[in-house]
Amino acid sequence: MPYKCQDKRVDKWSRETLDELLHLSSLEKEESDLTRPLVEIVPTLYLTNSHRGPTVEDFKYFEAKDYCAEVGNKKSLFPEWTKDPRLAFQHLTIEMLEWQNHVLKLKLPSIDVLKDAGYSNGWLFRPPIVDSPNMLMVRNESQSATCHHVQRTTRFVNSSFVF
Amino acid sequence: MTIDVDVGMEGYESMAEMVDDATEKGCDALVNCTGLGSSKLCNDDTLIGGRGILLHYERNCARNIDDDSMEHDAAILTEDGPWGSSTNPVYIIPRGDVNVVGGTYYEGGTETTLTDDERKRLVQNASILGIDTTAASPVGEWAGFRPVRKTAKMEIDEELSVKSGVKVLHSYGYGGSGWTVYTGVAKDSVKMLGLNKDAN
Repeated sequence: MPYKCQDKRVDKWSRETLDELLHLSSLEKEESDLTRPLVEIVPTLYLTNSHRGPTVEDFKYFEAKDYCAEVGNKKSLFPEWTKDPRLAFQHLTIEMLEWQNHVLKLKLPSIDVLKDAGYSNGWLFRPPIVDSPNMLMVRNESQSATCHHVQRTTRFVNSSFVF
Repeated sequence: MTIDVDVGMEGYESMAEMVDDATEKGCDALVNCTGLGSSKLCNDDTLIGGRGILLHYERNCARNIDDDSMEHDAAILTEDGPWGSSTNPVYIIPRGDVNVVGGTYYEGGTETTLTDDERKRLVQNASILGIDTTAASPVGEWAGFRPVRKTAKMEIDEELSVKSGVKVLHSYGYGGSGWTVYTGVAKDSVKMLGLNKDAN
């Protein structure tokens, strides 16, 4: 799910990165010595306070020229990345989410809490989440192993600390 | 060929300095992926910081979810009210050993630490999203700056390349999507450098 990146090439870049992350995730599943994987598929819920998806009205004037074999309706209201089947994207009402969660058992706020707050719909999908600090460390180590020196210091401030 | 790129200094002041160093070390290509640093290195006024803040809680911290059978971690995000907004998105993301709780998206924000009010708001977000903040305390906090630009910049710097003989590619301005696009960007970068080589 690209965030605050405006570029017409972003969907292509995201798709190619998803290829790699899913590949890494599948490789890691085979390795038993990792306490926490570098890439983890995490069920993700994006809450909205209105429907914001296609309704019957959107398909009332559906024309053949709008159909594309890979993505269905080209005039979809959802962003391009949602069409990748590997992300298992679903657009749900909060009630539908509650039903599914009887099976999924995700740690989510209760339906009453969500409804009281005014959230009526959500996007549920399964993206790979990168453990970025560990990933950087592993990549740095692998670079060091091939005799490259990587300069890590910078004079530009980018605060990161633990208290 | 393996080239030692450790320049033994804190950082570059300009692209010219970086290119000079690359030339001296015999590099044939240089990719500038310095993120927000490019605003100074390239005098790029269109590149600004989108300030973000986070609290970290332990991955297995106490939760306030009533139903104990809900055992699987999930990421939850919203930019919609009443909890969130486009500048104050609310989210929890399980990542490695921690749950990351955010956040903000302040374009042009420069504060490098969290204010007390921000810390309080993030604790409130954590509570809303299922962390028992009466029993669990943050184990870390973070403030950083997404390199935001109207469009990402990934292009060959013809002027510098011709002048120096080193192919210079700028690659920055991917906002909050670095880990979402990095492989695709790297592949395109290689292609662009390769195409440039063919063209020469």
